[in-house]
Amino acid sequence: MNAPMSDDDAELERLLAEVSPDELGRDAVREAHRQLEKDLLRLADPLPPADFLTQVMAKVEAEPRRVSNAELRSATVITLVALAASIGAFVSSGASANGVAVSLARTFVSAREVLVGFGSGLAAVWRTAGLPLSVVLAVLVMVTLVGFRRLLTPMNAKAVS
Amino acid sequence: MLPSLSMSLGTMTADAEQPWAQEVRRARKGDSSAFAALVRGLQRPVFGLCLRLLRTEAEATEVAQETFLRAYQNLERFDETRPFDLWVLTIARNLCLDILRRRQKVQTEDLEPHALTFASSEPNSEEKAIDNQQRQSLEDAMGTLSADDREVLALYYVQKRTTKEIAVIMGVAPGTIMARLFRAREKLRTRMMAAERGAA
Repeated sequence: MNAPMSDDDAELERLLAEVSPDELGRDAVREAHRQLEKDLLRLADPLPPADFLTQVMAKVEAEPRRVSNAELRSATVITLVALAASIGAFVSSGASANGVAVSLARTFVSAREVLVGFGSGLAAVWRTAGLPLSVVLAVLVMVTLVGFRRLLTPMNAKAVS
Repeated sequence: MLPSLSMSLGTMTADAEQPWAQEVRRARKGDSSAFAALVRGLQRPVFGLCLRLLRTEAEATEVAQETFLRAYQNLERFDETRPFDLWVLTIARNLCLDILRRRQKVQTEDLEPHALTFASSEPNSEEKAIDNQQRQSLEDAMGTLSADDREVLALYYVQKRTTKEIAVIMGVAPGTIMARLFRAREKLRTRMMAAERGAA
């Protein structure tokens, strides 16, 4: 329950004196306030709409949860441990800086071959079947992607929008 | 209402575990049922405060929902040693004050208070009807007060908060609350007297 009014008697007397200079008037105000307090204490908070909780939870479900500091710390630790382990494995297998450079150059060469091959393939499609085949393939890919997207959309997304 | 809400009324112990602590911890780990329990326990005081400050049901509903969403988004920042209900009520209050400030700035809102009916679930006998009428006239008179006065009266008398709790929510010194309450009551008394004289 609320703190007893007697603790603030001096302050209340000062405030009462502001309202009414004479004792009789102060008594009347005091009594009116007492009655008002009784009436105010009978008031209650209104109930929110019936679907309030559902609406709040739908909004909460639609909201991506913020990454916590603990999760961030764990992710950093995992990344650093994985990096340290891979460097350790790399060093322990006897690889040197020269070896790394050679593998990197080999990757570039093979990537160039892949790109040239892809370009030749596209040129061949264009020359043989031409535009209609390309359009059909593009439409097929788009329909498949849209289908996948519809399948993966969560059910509650509709309730929120 | 959750039992934990009534436990939080009038008590502000920092050393003992707060009544909401378990639900908050579970909600932080992504347990939506724990957060739903928190919303269920606080929806009425939060909506009530929003409605008394904003005076429109649609806006109060919107802001109360936004309050819980903000609370969810910032759960990590909540200090578990402090009362969760006061934290949420402070968010609600700040959102309401933003809207009230915007209203004043734009000045498109009419200055007359909205006629709100605070529904009662009590049986509809003649005595209850008179009682409801008295309550409604008190609510109407409250509606004519400033947002600050409405807020302090609602928190102290309707939600039965202590002056210390109100001071936390309003971000003022606890010593000023009793004076604010007195001034709000006095304004309410004069408004009600004027209304009675007008009706007579």
